[in-house]
Amino acid sequence: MGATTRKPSLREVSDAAPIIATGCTARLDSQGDFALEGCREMPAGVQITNSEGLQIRVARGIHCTLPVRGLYKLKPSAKIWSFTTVIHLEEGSSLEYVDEYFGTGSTACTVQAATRITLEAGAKLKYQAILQWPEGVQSKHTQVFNVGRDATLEVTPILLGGLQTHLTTESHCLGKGSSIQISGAAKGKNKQTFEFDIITEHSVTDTKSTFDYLTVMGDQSKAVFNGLIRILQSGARTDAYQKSKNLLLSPQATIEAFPKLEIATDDVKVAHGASISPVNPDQIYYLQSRGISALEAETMIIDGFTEPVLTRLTEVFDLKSRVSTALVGAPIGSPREFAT
Amino acid sequence: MQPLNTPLLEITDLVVRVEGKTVLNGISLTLKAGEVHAIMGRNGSGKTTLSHTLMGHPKYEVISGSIKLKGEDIKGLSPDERARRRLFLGFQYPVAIPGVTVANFLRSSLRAVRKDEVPPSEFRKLIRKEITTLGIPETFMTRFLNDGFSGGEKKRLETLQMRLLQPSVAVLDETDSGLDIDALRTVADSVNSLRAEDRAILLITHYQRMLDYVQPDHIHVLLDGRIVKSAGPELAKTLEEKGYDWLDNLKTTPAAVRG
Repeated sequence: MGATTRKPSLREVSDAAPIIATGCTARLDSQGDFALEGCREMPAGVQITNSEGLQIRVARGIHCTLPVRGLYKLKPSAKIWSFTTVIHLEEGSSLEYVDEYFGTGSTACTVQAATRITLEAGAKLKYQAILQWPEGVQSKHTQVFNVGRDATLEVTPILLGGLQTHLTTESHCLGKGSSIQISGAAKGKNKQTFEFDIITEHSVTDTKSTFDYLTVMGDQSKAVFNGLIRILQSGARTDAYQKSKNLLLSPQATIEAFPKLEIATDDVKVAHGASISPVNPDQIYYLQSRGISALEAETMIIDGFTEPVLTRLTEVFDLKSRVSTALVGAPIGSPREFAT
Repeated sequence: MQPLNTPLLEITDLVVRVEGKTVLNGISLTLKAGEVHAIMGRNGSGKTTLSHTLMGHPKYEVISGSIKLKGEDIKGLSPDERARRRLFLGFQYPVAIPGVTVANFLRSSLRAVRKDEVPPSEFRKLIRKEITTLGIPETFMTRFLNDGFSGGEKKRLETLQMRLLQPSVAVLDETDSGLDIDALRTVADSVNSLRAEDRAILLITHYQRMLDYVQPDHIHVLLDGRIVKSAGPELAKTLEEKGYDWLDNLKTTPAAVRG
C-alpha cells in the first residue's frame, strides 16, 4: 500500500507562514518588452509571468512583506493596446500589489485593460492601481474580483490621466466571511471624462463590502457614477455600503451619481449615498486668514479631501508622495524605472 | 518695535455692506500700540461684520472709509496679505477642514506669516512650549483641523494660533463663547500674556465675563453698525447692570459729537 501525503491544514500553513520580502517590479510595455527589476529572481512561492499582461500567483501560506509592482508603459507608437492582469492568491497567502499604467506624450490610443483577482480562502490582498494614461488615451478597464471564504481584498484605484476612462468593477463576495473594501480617487482636468460602473454582489452569508470614491473635478471634466449593491437571497447578514464624495473645482465641471440597491433578502445592513459640492469658500478664507495664499489653501483642501484614500497607498516606490502631488495638480512623474 | 502710542490699527468712517444691506454705518476706531480695546454690543449689532471686514472676507463690501494697519491702507488686500502683515482674527466659529492635520496647518501658516521656512526642530519646540501653556494635549497635532472639535477645543486652537503667529493686531471675535470657566481663564491668561508694547488687541464680546479676566483700556459699544459709546473699563460693569437699552437713544448721534 502506497503512502498518502496529507495536505496541511490552513492553520498549519499559517503557523509555518513563510514570510518573504519582494519589492520587485515587473515592467511591460505596449511593444511586449517584459522585464523584472528589484530582484534577480522571484522568491519561491511568488510567480510573475507575462502573457499579454502580468500574471501574479502567490502560493499557499506565503506572506510577502514588501509590495510587488507592475508597470505598464504605453509607447507613443501604439494605437491600440489590450492586456490582462491576473492576480491569484492561494489559500492563506498575503500580498500588497501595485499596478501603474502610464505613458509619455499625447498619444491617441485605445487601451483595453482587464484585471482579474482571485483570492482563495483566508488570503489577503492590498491592490492599488494608478491610472495615468497620456492625455489622448481612451481606456476601458474591467476589474473582476472573486473573493473566497474569510479572504480580504482592499482595492485602491487612483484615476488621473487619459481623455476618456471607463472603469467597470465587478466584485463578488463568494465565500462566507469574505470582505471587499474599495476606496478610490479620481482627479479630472481639461475635458477628461470618467465613467464608473461599480457592481458589488453578495451571494453568501456574512460578507462585507465597502465602496468609497472621492473625485475632484476641475475645468470641464466630467465624472459619472453608476453604483449597484446586489444582495442575493442567499446573502443574509450582508453588511455593505457605497458612497461617492465629489468636489467641484470649476462651474463647468460635472458629476453625476446614480447609486442603486437590489436586495433579495432581509437581515442585511446596507447604505449608499453621494455628495457633490464645490470647494467651501469659508475654508479658503479661514486658511487665508492665517497667511496661506488662496492657491495653497485650495491645494491643502484637496489634499485633505483625498487624504482618506492616500493613507491607503504604500510608501514603497515613492508611490504615496507621487500620487499626493498628482492629486493636487502637478504631474505624477514617470516611475524611475522608465526614465529612458 | 513700534513706539508706544503709535496707531497700529486706524479705522476711519467705515461703511460696510453685506448682501446689499448696510451693516456698518461709519465706524471710526484707533488702536495704539500696547492697548487693549473691547467692542461690545447686542447680537446683530455688527460686531462680527467688523471683524471679518478687517480680515478682508470677500462677502463684506467696504463702501467708504479706510482701514490702516501700521499706517498702510489694507482695504484692497486679500486676507492672506493682511495676515502676512501681522493682522490676526480669532474666529467665533472656526472652520473645520477634514484631512488637514493641525500640525500641517500650523506649519503652513507659520511659514506663510514669517515668509520663511520653519525648521522642523524649531517648530516642534515652539509647539511643545505653547501647548503646554494652553493645556492642549499633543494628540491635537495629528487631528484634522477643527474637525469634531468641541467649542472649547476650537477656541484653544485659535488661541494657540494667535500665540504662534505673534500678530501686531489681534482681533478676537467672541473668543469667550463656548468656554467653560477653566478654559476661559486659560484663554484670558493667554491674551493677557500677549499684551505687549508692540501689539494691540481688539476683543469683540457679547458678555462682560471675558472682561473680568482681561481688563481693556477702552470699551466701545456697537449698536446698529455705529459706535454709540466709548469709555474706560468701568463701562463693562454699567452694561452688565443696565444692558444696552439705555443706549438706544444715542444711536443716531455719532460718538465723536458726544465727546
